[in-house]
Amino acid sequence: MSKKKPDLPQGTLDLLVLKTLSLGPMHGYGIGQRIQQLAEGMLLVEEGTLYPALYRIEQRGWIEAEWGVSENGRRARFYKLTRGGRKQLQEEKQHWEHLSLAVAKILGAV
Amino acid sequence: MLKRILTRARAVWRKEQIHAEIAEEREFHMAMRAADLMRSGMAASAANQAARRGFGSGVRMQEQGFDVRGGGLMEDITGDIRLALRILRKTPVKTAALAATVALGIGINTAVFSVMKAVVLDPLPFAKSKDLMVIHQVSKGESEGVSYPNFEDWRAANRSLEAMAVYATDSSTLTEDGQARRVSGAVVSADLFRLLRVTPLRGRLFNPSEDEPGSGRQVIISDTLWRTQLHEREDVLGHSLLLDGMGYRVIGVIPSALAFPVHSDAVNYWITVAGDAEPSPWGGSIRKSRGYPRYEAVLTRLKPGVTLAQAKAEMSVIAGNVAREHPGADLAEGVRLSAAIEDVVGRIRPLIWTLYAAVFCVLAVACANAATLLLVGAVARSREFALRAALGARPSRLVRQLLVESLVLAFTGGACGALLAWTLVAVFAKIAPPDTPRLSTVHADGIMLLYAVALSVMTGLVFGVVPATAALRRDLVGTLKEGARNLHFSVRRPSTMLIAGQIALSTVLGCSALVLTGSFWRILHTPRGFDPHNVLTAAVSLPPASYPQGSDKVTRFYTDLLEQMRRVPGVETVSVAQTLPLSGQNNSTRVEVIGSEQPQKASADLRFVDPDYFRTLRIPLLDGRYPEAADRSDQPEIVVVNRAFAARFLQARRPVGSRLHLGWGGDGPKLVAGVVGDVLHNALDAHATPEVYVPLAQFPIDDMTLVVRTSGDLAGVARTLRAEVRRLDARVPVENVRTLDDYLLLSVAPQRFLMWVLVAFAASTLLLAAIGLYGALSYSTVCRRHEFGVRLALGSNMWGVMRLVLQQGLGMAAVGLTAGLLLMAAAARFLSGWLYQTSPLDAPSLACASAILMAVAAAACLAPARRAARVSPVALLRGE
Repeated sequence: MSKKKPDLPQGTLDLLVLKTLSLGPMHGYGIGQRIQQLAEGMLLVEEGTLYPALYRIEQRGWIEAEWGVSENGRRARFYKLTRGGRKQLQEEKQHWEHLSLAVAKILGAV
Repeated sequence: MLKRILTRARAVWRKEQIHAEIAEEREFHMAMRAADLMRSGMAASAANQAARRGFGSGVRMQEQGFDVRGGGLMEDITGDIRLALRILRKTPVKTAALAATVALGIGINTAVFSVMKAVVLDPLPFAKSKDLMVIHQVSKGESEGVSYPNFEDWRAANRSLEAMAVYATDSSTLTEDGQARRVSGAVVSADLFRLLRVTPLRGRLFNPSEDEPGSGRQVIISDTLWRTQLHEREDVLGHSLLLDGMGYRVIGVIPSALAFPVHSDAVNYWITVAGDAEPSPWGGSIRKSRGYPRYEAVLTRLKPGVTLAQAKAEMSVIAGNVAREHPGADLAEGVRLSAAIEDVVGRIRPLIWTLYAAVFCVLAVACANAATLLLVGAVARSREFALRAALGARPSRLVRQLLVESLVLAFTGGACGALLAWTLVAVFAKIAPPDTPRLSTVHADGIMLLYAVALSVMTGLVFGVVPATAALRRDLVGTLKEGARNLHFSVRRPSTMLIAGQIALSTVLGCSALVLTGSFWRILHTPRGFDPHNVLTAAVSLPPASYPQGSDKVTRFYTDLLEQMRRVPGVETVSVAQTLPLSGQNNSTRVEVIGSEQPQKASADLRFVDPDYFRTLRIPLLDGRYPEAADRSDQPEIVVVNRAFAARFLQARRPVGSRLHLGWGGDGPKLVAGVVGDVLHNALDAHATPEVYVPLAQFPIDDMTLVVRTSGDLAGVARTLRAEVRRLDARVPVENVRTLDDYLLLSVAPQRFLMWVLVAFAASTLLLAAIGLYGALSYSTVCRRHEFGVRLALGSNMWGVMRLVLQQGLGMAAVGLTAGLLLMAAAARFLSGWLYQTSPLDAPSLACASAILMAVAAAACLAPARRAARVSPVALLRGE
């Protein structure tokens, strides 16, 4: 990799996945791409971490998967947010905002 | 939670599909990535490679994905089971031995549980059977029958009980299609079936008016009788059933399952008490005779909301009033009201519970045995476990695997055990005391299966936990470094405890078996006043229709039969009697000695016999003479009494020549012609009671039992007997052909049953304990090989080494024996009910059991000890 991209803190990937899926159902590749696009290339989501995270979130019941047809006409597994997932997203978002606010305050102090 | 279990279960069944889906998803991802890369100008092959690299190890992702999607735990457990099966298959002999041990424990236990459930635990088959009560009169502390006048008075006075009905068992000769057969039935009063809430299959129940004399003869039959004897005829209602030569109109058919009273003998017909009121040569007084407890008991039902205590209180007041109004009536001691189920199973319950306790001892020994062998096996594999632990396996993972192994074993054993139980149930039903009620309802069912499964889980956990915890405690580094050499120290304590436990329980069973055997021997060799060997008996009842009661025709039939039988080769003496010793039947009568002050209530047991009875049974003559053929009906009436009678009633005078009046057996005064020895008539463990013998010729009875003393083959004589009776009159049935020895054994059937069962149990547990001891000791000897080699090299001789092993083995046995004897002392009181003139802690029996136990233990130690002594120090030290 030419340029060092920051690692995601533990658990943050879940939040990003949920956020991404709140915009609409999407397959795994699309989720990775979307996160990268939204972060304007500042984040790289590795396949080796993305899929275990997807399976884990699915297991918890926050997202569910269904086989569908992708934009290029191939069979793909589409993930979509469940109602529980939507709630979880709200909670995690609040939690994250709190945390980043606190961290920012500390870092901003002189 | 449920959803998660479902997901997991699905993961096991749809494993292939899940894996395929994960792979497909990955392929799609890589294709998309490659396409993107190519769009940005990369060459196709380079793009594909880059896409593949992004994923790293496909396998890892695959496994992770499968784990997350529910495969994990389930797959681990199926893996554990597969591994367990593989390990168990590797040692087929040991596995078979373990499974057989478990099967034995579970099989016996399940079988006895089924018997206990059907005989003791199940409620009576009637609606709201908890409210059904039974009332007995009480005499000398024992429950007794009930007389009709008492029953009527109770019924009239009672308020807390719904209704009342008397009942008594009965048997008759049923003549159907020209064939005569003895059938069991009951004489009941009309309310009985209504109290039981029985609905007839056909026809109706009795009406209260049918209790009254002159209401015609009605009978209700069981559907078994209808099927087997009446060929399921459709016109059964109104059919005339010939019982003892008298026609009874069939008015109803009821299910056999709802027969009452509940006895070992199936009751197949019911007639009303009206028959008891009909005049007969000596009957007809049952309605008025307050002192004659004709009926077995009174059946009744608590009114809704009435408690047992209230009903008891009311009944005792009523009985007290009746006793006051009729001094001399047998009610001075009151009445006993108890739940009907108690009346049925109360007597057999202690036997069954003793049996159940014994089978738990067997199961515990089987468990301990399996645990010992598994423990040894787990220790042998301790290197494997240590290695796996070192490679990062969590302890819980190892314990789980050991538990799965023992559970697999337990279920294999349990399955075989259930099959074994299925056969054993039939065996138990066959060898159980014949008067055990409800034996016919014992059968293999779902509950039995469930019980076996529960027992398997329990045993699997119990005998799996010991090796599992032993595996946990082990010190990793030491094990890896030292190998198996010093391992025996870590298992020595648990295995010693297991072996000692097995021996302790074997001791309890062995001691109990021997104490019972001693008691049984004593009971069989107690002087009983007659010689039962080589005596054949058979009930020959004459149908009253063709042999009027009390007529000379009755006397003539029996005289002719005796005459014919005397001529049969091999027959020494032959006679007839109404009730035989130890047959469970009895008769009693009021006694009045002419010219003496009578005690208030004098009664004696009454026997009707042919003169040769005493010679046939070898009852000794003490004074006077035996009855003779010359004591016919036209001669002065005589009786013969036993020693107990003479001692009780004729103390002040010379017995022979005294005169008596009997309440039954002829109205005239009777001369005492002789005194004979006492006979234990009621039970071998009871005392002799006063008895009076009346010659049959002077009071003919039509329901006699033939007794034949032979020197020849009993079966041949039985055949001749049947042929002779058929020749004299084909309508007369010959029933109950058995020897007097049979009666003797039947009378002690519960003790005999318990004795044999305990002997069998004790032998099996002793064998198991010996195997366990042998296994543990063999293993420990292998572990201590090094030590023995060093000792031998340092100059110890073979005996020294053998002594070490024997000390270890016999030490365990001695600990177990001591614990067992202490347990025995604690359990003694459960045994004492079955013993005759024997203490439950009978010293010779206990000493004998201990000796047998130590001898078997020594034998089990011998082979390992000899192997230890044969260790070659040179080979061993070189091998290091």
